[in-house]
Amino acid sequence: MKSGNLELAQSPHISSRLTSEKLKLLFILSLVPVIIASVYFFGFYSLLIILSSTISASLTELIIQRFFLKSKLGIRPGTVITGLLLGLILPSTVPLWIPAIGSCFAIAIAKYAFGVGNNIFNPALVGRAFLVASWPVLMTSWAADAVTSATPLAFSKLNSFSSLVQAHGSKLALYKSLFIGNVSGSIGETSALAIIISAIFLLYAGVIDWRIPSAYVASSFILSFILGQDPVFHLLSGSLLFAAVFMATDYMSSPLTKSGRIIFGLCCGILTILIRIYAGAPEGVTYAILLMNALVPLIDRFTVPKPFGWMRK
Amino acid sequence: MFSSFVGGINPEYKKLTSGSPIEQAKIPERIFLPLKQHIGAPCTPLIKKGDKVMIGQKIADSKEPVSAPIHSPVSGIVEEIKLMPSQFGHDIISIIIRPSGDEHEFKKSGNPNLSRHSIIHAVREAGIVGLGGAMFPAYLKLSIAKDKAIDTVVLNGCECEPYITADDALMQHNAHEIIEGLRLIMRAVDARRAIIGIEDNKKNAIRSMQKEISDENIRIVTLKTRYPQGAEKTLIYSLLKRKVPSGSLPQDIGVVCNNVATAKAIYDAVYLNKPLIERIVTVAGDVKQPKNLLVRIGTPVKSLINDCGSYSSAPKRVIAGGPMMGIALQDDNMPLIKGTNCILVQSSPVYVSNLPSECIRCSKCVDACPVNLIPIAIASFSEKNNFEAAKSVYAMDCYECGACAYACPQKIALVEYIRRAKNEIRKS
Repeated sequence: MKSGNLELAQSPHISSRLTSEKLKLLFILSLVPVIIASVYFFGFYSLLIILSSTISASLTELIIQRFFLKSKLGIRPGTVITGLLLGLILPSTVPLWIPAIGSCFAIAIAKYAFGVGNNIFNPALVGRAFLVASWPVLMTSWAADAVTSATPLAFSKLNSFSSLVQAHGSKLALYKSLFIGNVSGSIGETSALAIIISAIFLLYAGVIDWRIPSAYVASSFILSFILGQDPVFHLLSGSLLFAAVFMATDYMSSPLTKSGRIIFGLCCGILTILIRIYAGAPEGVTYAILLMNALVPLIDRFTVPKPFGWMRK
Repeated sequence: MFSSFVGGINPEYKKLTSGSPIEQAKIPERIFLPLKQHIGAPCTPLIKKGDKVMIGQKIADSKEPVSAPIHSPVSGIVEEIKLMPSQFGHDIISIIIRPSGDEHEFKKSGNPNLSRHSIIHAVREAGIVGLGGAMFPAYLKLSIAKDKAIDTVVLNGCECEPYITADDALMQHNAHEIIEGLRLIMRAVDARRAIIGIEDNKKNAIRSMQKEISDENIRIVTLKTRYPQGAEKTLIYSLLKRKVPSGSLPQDIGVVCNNVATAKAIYDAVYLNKPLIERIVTVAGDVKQPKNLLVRIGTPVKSLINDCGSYSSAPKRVIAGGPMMGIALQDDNMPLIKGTNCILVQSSPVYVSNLPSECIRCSKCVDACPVNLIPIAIASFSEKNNFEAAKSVYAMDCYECGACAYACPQKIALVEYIRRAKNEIRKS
C-alpha cells in the first residue's frame, strides 16, 4: 500500500474515551441527586427556578452567538452547567426573573466577555454575587417547609450556636438535619447526603480531582475548630460542601498544578471560615472562591513542579 | 497493590495475543536492511551488489563507537544497495537481499569465553541493540565507565503498551535463555544482583520466568499494570526507589536496565554465536488473525500482515511500535527493523490533533505525566514559538510517552507540540 493511502500521524494513536463532551454530560448527570433533594425539600418550584436559570443561560448564549459573535448557533453543555449551578445556589423563594437575570449576567459577563473558554471566575458564582449585590433582600429570603426561616449559619451568627442547637433539640439532631438537608438554604446546598453521593460519582468517573474538595473540606474543618467553632456544623452548613464539590472544582477557574490545587482548596476553606466568622455575611463561600479564582494564575506560576529526577546542580 | 509511580494512565490493554503461540513468519521474497537500525552512526556496507551472503554474516559495520553492525538474516544474494524511504521520514541506504532458502541452524558451541570483555565484544559483534524500542547499542550500555560501579541489573519485562505481547510470549517460551542472558549481563557489568520487573497482567510469563530462577541474587518483582511502567526511569524508580537524575543515565546511579528480548539476544550471541537476525513481533489491530510472529529483521511489514490473514478492513494507519509511542508508516512495504516489537493496524484511528489553545484546564495531562511536568504549558509555549519558556518548564525532560495526550479530553496534540519544542531547543 503506497503512501497517500496510509495516514501519517504522530503518536499517540489512541486516546481516552473520556472527551470534554462526556465530562460535561457526566457533570450534569452528577447534579441529579442534588436536584432531587432540592425538589424534595423545597417543592416543584425548585425545578422552575432551575429551568428559568438554565433556559435564560442558553438563550443568552444564542443571542450573543447570533448578534454579537455572528458565529454558529449552538448551546454549549458548559452553559447548561452554569445555568443549573446558578439555579441550585438560589433561595427557594426568589421570583423566577431572578435566576433569569442572574444567568444572563453570568453567561454574558463571566463567560463571554472574558472569552468563552477563558473565564477567570466561576460564572455561576459571578451571577450569584451580582444578584446578591443587586437584590440583597430577595437573595436572603430563606424558607424551609414553606416557612420563612433563617439559614442555620445566619441564625447561629445572629443569635448563637447554642441557641441554634436548642432550636433543633440537640447537636446530633442539628447534624442530622444538616446532613439530610432538612434546613433552609439555597435549594441545592442543604443536603450534604445528596452532595456526597454526587461527589463519589464525580470522583469515580474521573470528572473532578480529589485535591480541591479534600483540601477545602480539611482546611475548613481544622480552621473552624482552631477558632473555637463547631467544625462539623461548619462542614455541613451553608454551601461549603456544594461549592467544594461543584464550584471550586471548575476546570477553567482552578489551578493546573497538583500542589496549586491543594493550595487553592486550602485557601478557599480558610477564607470561607474567616468570612463566616469575622465578616458581615453569614456565608463566605461565594467571595472565598471568587477571590481565589483571581489568584489562580499566580498560584500556577509559583507551583510549577520540578521534573522527576531534577537535581540541584 | 498500588501503582508504584506517580502519574500514568490505564488504557484498554487489549492484549488479545497474550496467550498466542509464537509462529514463524514467512521468509519474504526480499529482505530490506536499512543501514541504520540503532541510535548512532549509520553503518557502511561490507558487501556489494551481486555478492552471496550467508545467514548471520556481518554485512555492514561502522568504526564509530556509537553504532551496531548489521547481519544478514537469510542466506541469499545481495540484489541492490540503494536509498529507500524509512519510517523516520528520511531516506536511508538499504541493502536488499533475495533469500535463496538454504540456511543453517545456530547451535550451542563448546564453552564460550565468559569474561567481561568477551561478553561485551560478543554483544557488539552480534549487532544487538535495545530491543524494547530504544535501539541503543547494547554493548555500549554494558561498557561501564571505570569510575562507576553497577550494583543492580534491572530487566524490563513490563511491556506496558496496549496490544504488544512480544516480550510476554518470549518470557513464556524462552525464560531459560532470558535468565541466562541476564546472568551474562550481570557478569559484563559486574553487578551482584538483578531484579526483573514484570507487570501483573502477565501471570503466565511471571510463572514461567520464576521457574528458571534458583539463586537469591535474581528476583522477580510484580508491578501493578499501568502505562508507562516499562519506561526505563519509571521502572528503576518503581523497583529500587532510585531516581535517575535529569540528563543522567541509569549507570550514574549504579543501575543498568535492559529489555528481556535484549537479554535473550545476548544469550544467543554468546552461547549460540548467533547475531541479531530475528525477533518476536506482535501483529495486532485490524488484521484478520492477530499473532505473535518470529520475524527475520528486514521483512516487509506487508508480509507480516499477510501472515495474519491480511487486513480485516481498509487500514488508515499502520504503526511500527505500540499505539502510544509507535511511528505511523507511510508505506506498508517498509521493512521491520531491529527495535520494532509490534505492528498495529488501525482502520478507525482516534484523532489527537487539536491546538493547545483549545485547553479547558482540566489538568488531566498534569495528572497523567510520569515525569511531573505540565504538558499543556510546554505545548502552549511551543504553539506560540516561545521555546525559551518551553525550556523553562522542563520540556527536555519529557520522554514523549504520550500519557498526557491520551488523557486529554480535548484531544490536543500535546506530544506533537512538545516534540516540536524539544527539537527547537536542541537546535539552539
